[in-house]
Amino acid sequence: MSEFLIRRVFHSLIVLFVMSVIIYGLIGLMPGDPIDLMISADPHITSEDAARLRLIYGLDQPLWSRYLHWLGSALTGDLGYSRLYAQPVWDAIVPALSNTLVLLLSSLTLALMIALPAGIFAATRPYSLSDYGINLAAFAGISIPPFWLGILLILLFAVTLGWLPAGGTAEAAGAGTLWERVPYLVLPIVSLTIAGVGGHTRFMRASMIETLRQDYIRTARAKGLSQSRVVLGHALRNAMIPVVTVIALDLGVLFSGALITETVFAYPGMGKLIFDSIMGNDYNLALVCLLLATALTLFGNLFADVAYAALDPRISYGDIEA
Amino acid sequence: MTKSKQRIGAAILALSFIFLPIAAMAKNDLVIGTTQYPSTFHPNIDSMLAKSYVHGLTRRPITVIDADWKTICLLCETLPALENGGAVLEKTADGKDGIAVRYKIIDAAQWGDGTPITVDDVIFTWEVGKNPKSGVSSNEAYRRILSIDRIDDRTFTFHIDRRTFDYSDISQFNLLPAHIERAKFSTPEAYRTQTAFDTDATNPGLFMGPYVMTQAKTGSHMVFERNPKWWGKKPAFDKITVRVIENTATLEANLLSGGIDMIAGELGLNVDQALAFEKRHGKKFAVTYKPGLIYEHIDLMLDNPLLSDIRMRQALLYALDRKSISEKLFGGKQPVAHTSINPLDWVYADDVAHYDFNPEKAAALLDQAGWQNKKNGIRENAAGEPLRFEIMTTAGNRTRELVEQVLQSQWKTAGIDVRIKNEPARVFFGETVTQRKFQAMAMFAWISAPESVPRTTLHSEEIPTAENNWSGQNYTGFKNAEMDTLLRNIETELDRDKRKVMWHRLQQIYAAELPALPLYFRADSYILPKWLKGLTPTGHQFPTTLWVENWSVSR
Amino acid sequence: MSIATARPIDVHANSVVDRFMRHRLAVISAIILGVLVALALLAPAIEAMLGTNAETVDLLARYGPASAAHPLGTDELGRDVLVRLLYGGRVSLFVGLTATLAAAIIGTAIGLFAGYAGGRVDALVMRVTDGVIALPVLPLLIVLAAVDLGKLGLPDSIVSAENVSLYRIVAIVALVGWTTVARLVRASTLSLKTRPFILAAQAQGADKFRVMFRHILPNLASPIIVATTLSVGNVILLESVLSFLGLGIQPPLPSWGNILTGAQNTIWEAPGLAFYPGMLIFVTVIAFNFIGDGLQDALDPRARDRRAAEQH
Repeated sequence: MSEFLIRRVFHSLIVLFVMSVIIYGLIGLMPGDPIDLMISADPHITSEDAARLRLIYGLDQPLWSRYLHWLGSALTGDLGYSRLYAQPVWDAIVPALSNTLVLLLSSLTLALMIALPAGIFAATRPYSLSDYGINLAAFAGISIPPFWLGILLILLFAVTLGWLPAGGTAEAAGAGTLWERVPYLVLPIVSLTIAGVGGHTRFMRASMIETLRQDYIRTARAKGLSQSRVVLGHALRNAMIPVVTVIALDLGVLFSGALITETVFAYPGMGKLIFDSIMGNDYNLALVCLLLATALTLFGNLFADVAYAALDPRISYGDIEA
Repeated sequence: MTKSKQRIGAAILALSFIFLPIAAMAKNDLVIGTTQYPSTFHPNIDSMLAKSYVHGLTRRPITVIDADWKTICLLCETLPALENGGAVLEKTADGKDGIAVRYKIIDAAQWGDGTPITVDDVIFTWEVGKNPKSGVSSNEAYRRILSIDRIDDRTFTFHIDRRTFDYSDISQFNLLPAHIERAKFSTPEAYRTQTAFDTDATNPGLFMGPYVMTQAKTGSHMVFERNPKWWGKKPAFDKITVRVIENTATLEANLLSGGIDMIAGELGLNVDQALAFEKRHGKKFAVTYKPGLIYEHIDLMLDNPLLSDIRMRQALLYALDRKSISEKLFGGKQPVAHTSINPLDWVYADDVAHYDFNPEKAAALLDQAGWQNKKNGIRENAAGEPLRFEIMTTAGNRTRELVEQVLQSQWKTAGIDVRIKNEPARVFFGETVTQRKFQAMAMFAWISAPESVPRTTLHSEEIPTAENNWSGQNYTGFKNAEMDTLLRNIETELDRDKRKVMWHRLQQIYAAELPALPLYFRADSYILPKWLKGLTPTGHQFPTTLWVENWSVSR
Repeated sequence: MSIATARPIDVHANSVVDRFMRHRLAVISAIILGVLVALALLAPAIEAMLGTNAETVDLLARYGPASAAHPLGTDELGRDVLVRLLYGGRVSLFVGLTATLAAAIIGTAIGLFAGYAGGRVDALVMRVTDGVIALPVLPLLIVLAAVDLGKLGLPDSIVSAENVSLYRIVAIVALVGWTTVARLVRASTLSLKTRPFILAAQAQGADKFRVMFRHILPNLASPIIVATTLSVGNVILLESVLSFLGLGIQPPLPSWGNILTGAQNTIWEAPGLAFYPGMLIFVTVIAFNFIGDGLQDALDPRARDRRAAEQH
């Protein structure tokens, strides 16, 4: 087990390193540099200024040399300075990260609290009216353009009904207690939940239907166990395996997937940070953010495999590695 | 009423209390909505509107241009002039024409921590500004200052290496607090990452305006509270919050639901959005429009053989009905531009070539230029090549995209096939425009200042090339010897009347030669609550917040 | 995870249709989608019938109400909303279909190759696939938006065409979207190639490509079709999100995504303009999802629910 983990972590580190090279290269491929953007905004910048600023920001160096420089200081724990936010990269990331985690974890919890029972319920009555209803609702959630949904929610709950604030954070409105924070989170969380719940429901349903067809379930049924005993007592554990796997694999994607919701609700989180750092040509910040997302994906992969083995006694770690 | 009903009622009451927007219940607070968060708070690194807007609340430049477009003193006692002896002509050490200008900082001026503002701060700011390692965006203005004389603690003289007509205007000279920043500047290379403006952004000692910043949450909001050390008129609000909401639909929703009180004109809704808003909610809010110095135009690539023909450039403009664009799309709030000079500017001249909508003239010019034949409504030359151009602008800028489609449709009527190819601002400004990679037309805006000499956009030495580090903003590649001379002479001519003559000539050349197609001057739209008075849009680069002490609440 | 197994296509076409018809939501979806596609294809005819032009700007008729000439009114530039939506539908559906098709072809080729070759090749290809999955789409988009297509040797008719942004989106989706199908195909190929009928073909001396394309590929048709159908909707949704970020289909070419994005600026003033494109995207995406679901039931009744877990 521990040997397995060590090897996997080691592999992940190598992938991370390769990704850092690729991402840096990609950003370097993008046209123009930060100084070009500055020039277009400020008529006072002269050709001497441009040369001087390129020197200060190290932009006169070739890409690979800049990358090695970044890598060198990153290994000593200094992730660099974000030009766009005028802060060390890590200082810019921490608040955004915690904001996003609050959003993502609560919406994921909420989505699972709805999706798992709904999926199981639908699976036990396949092709019934309620199954159709649940399917319809699940697909509806997946199919709404997320920014449209966000704006419709704001229109209804903030502008028309006036029940909830139309985006932003509680701090921005001068409020800080837990109770005051909640209303600001409701709409973004609901919007993310609606987008996420459908997929999980479909999964849970599919996985449960599949499990219920297994021989050992038939055996359990034959023994005369009640439907709920069979489903919750026997099938659930196995049916959960693919569901957990998919949730874990989705971690990294969720990260940048919150971009639209964060933009619509003026919520300063990671999605927005990644987008702005790329659009603003902030190499250091973009690189670290994207690496963080990659790391999360890799961690998700690892977690999925471990969970897979933990939930399914038939699988050993050796099997996964093959 | 039963007890349980009462309980439910109480619960609903409590809920609605929790869910009510909390902002701006008492009117000694003001919440402003804007669309951009400043990247750095250092006044001399990376100039951007979002920063000058909030610095308007917390800082004062030594001189400024007021709402009547006159240069006035904010931190100094009197504006130096040749007439009052504050400015004296002199020769520089190497014999060139120079000038000495003297300023006295007003006695009451002090930083937010009580430290007086003195010549030390002036000299320190200059040292930082001219140091090539400091990371200041533009150090040209600082290098022009050859030396600074310290007359007394509050009085100083700049010796400047050239004589420009705007010698008394030092609004770009943003004072830095020496008592805080000098220690940070001990290693100039590290200054841009060490400056207290970003590492200790709420230190009151950084500010000298009516407010000090007490909270800054990146990407979300900034909070400003009264500066107890402020020496001027007492502002009306105890607290001002500036909230950043990038998505304008959400910004409007926040205004409608009470999350914010007003939308800043400088960084808020486009005119078309504001017009639509006014139509629907004009009763609840006061919407004012102020056309300003933002010049929307289309830069033409003059190296393109088709566009190097002046007849083609004129025909392109004659074929456009800019008046109806201005009236129908922008409710007449954004006046048609004839040159890059704004009608509000005192140097503006109206008697230059105007290209009012005239399809016949456009057709005649195109015929002359050799594009007589038409096939499927598109003109062709003798060789059978269609008359086709590519127009580019910043993708995602809704207003520009709309205007672009109108232009395209109008040009099509004239037999000109214009293809739209937009790019994200990041690419458009990062490379396509700045490195002159557009094929024919690039649509964007210049933000200028009153009587600002368009040297960087029109002088032939300002054409960006790899050799000059792609600096300069003469993206069209415009070369005109008379224009070069005018640009040089206007800058150094101290006599207003003589300057006016030269400005007149400059606009004539611009209108005759059309290096760019002038479209319109953008207007700022301020969406204010009915109870807010005293906010006067300036129409130039200095934000309304510089006069925040004049804002008041009327009931 | 690779729980999907391929099954030979059910040769009785009738029973496939029968099973599909039993999925009522899928049938309704297919009808709705058919109507939408027909309307989009008929856009020029409807345009002519109404006597308007989708591109001609009329500044005097902005935000016009619904009328006989303009059944859904006019937009912010005085153009007919209905006709623009139909043309937008052409673009959105085209992007959705071509991009997923391209991704499916690439994914099938890669998955087939990796699965059949096995061993080291397979391991390498799968690591590359993992890498592509982790690749950040956003910088890729910006890089591609800036690539000078002329330098790539593409003909001028494509480079200067107004729908370059359309090809870009298709290219990007194809470049990053093939991974799902590749994994699916690879897993199925791995299990198929040990089956007796394949081993028999190999024993008869059929060459590698013949085995891959004549014997294995036909057996993969149903999972590929299902996966592709399900992702058409996702691509249409992705296009709308990219439009929201200013990176999608560029005007004047209308797509549902950019019409919706444009309308959200004035959503409080002219909500209808935002409502129609939003509804159309919603209905289309949901329809594709149901059809995919129905196809799954129809093509592969036994493994249908297992595969659902693969494709989301």
